[in-house]
Amino acid sequence: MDADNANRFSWAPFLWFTPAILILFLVTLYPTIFVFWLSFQKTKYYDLVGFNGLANYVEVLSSPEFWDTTVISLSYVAGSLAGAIILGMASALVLNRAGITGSALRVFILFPWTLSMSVVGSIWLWLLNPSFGPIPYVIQKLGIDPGLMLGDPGMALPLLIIVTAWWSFPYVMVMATAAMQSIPKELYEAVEIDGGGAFVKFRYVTLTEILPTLGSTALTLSIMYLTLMTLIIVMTGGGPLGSTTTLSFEAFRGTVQAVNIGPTAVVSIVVLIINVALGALYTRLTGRVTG
Amino acid sequence: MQTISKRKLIKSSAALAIGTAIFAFAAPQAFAQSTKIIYQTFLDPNNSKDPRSAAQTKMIDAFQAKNPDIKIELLVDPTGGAAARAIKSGAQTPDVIRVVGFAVSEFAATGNLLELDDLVKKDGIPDGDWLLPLSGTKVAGKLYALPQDFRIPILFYRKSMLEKAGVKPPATWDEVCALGAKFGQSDTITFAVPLGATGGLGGAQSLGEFFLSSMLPGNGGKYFTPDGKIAFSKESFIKAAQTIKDFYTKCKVTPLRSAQMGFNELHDALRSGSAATAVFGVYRYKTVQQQGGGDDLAWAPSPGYAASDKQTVYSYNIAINKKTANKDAAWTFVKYMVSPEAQALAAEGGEVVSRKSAYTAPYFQTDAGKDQKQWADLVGQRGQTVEYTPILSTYHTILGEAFQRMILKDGSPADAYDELIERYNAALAKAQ
Repeated sequence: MDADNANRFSWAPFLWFTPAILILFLVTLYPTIFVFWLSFQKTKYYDLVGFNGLANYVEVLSSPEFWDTTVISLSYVAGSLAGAIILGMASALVLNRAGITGSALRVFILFPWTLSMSVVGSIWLWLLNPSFGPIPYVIQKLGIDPGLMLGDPGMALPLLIIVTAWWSFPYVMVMATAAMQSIPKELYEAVEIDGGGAFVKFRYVTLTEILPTLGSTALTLSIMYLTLMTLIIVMTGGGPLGSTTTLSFEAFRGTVQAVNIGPTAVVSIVVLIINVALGALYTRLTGRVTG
Repeated sequence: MQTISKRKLIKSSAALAIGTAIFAFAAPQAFAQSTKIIYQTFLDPNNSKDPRSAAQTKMIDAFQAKNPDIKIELLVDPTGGAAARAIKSGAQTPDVIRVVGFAVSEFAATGNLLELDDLVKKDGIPDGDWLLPLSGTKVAGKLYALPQDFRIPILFYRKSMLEKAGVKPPATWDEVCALGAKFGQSDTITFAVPLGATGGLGGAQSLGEFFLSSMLPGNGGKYFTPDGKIAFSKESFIKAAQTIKDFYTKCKVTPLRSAQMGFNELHDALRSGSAATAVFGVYRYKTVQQQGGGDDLAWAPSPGYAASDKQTVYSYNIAINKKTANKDAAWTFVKYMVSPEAQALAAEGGEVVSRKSAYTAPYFQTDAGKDQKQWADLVGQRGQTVEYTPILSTYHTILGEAFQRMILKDGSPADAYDELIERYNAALAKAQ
């Protein structure tokens, strides 16, 4: 090949990428741009009545309900994440050195993660039903008043967090196990030679080595929790008294009701901004893992 | 092995190309003879467990046999979301939709439903042949949809539980309240009142549908004005809210755990027997019976302030998309679907069909049809229709939260009313 041919500009690579770029634009960029544009419009049902400037943003951001919903969303994300990380790490540590039994148990533990969220929601609705659910029944037998469970505005969010953590902790377990199994044994042997015990091994070898993986896993889950709605729709419908209404659920409800979707678009933009921030962090973290 | 010469191959290819071109040109001409109508329905024809689906298939087959130039294509839309989006965005299809009674005003407000007054008049569809007059289906004096069935709230109850307590099915709210003393302390919910938001189209729809849409307008009163403003009085709200609060507190017939119940939990409570009585939709009766209720499940007319009080009923209606390119064919189809002939087929699916003359069909002499005939009589005697707000799911969301606050936080009916009025008016103003 001569130098002229090598330097000649070719459209061919761009042509090969065109379908992918086109699909990306149609399914991701166009809807995002449209929602952003919608957030500046006055709307009636799905009709755009006219440009509204920042009025939708002012309306949403100045409403106390929006900030209540934001607090609920962040509590939901933080609580579910804490639960999933603790449960996932604990099961990964226990099963990591359990040989064949550990592998078999891992498959069993993966079960919740394989279920659809609507099935998970329905199962837990039954388990927590204050009339005939096994959990309130056991609590009652222990001499404690189980209360209204999902019907109690103070208990609904914590219970939803428990269910979300139960559903998603196997993902943390799998990621943590994979990271643990790639830690060189020599590092543990070095700690043993220095007289370090189990805690020192965990703190300075296991945790240090799996932390980047755990960080990126946490960010993936955070993004998922922030946009998760199915469990809320099935289990509480956002209630009681709005105690489980998250930003994504509010965006969903506003779109389904479709009375005035301009302010709903603002809520979607807020969720998008939080997710983009988390995504940027995720990219940096995964860069650290692979780089 | 036989070989084909190059010339032969070229000839064959040319013949194939010409043949394809002729077919491509001729086929649309041939198909253009028939008009395709896209019919949005929540009934999936492949659902063999739902007798309503089988009845729908029968109706469509019968229509197509009579009208070979019109082909019906189903758009199965279980939640109604596709139809809502299509009508609200002014899409051309589906041509014909099924729309629940309390959503007609919401859809009509978009301006995308075809007015049917002139068509009904032109074809002489009699106003007197419906269980309730067609005028009750109108929005702001205009007819946008024709009822296919009528749905009235009824009292579901467990025979064995009422017999054990030594009581008859309650006919008034006072009798419901009196059940508390008869049932005493029990794990069973004596009378379930759902305030929750699960199931339905959004918000506390079950509270609205089974209680407040009858209690608030009263006998022959208005629920909403045509432009969506609240038309019931503060007095009627406070009376209804106090009655429901009393069930939870003074009467002790409704435990607090009922406050989070929506459609799904109410359905489960009735089929599992964890609720002894509840007001629920007639359309769920046979399902609850099949799913655990069995012979122990029975029904009675819904209680009211008085035993003869009116009950607000609603329909699943059939309507035409104003933007359809096939108005004539769509009307031919709609006219057939509400005809006594088609309605007699629909009845076999378990619906309380809307045309009076359909009830002369032999099906209603069978055991399966007897309940439906009695429900139809109940609709005729106690049924009333009301006008709804175009932002009904928002209204139900606010209503449910106001009632939950009143029950769970021991608020007053007056506070619940103030919360409803303030939040609802603000939501309505934004929607207009």
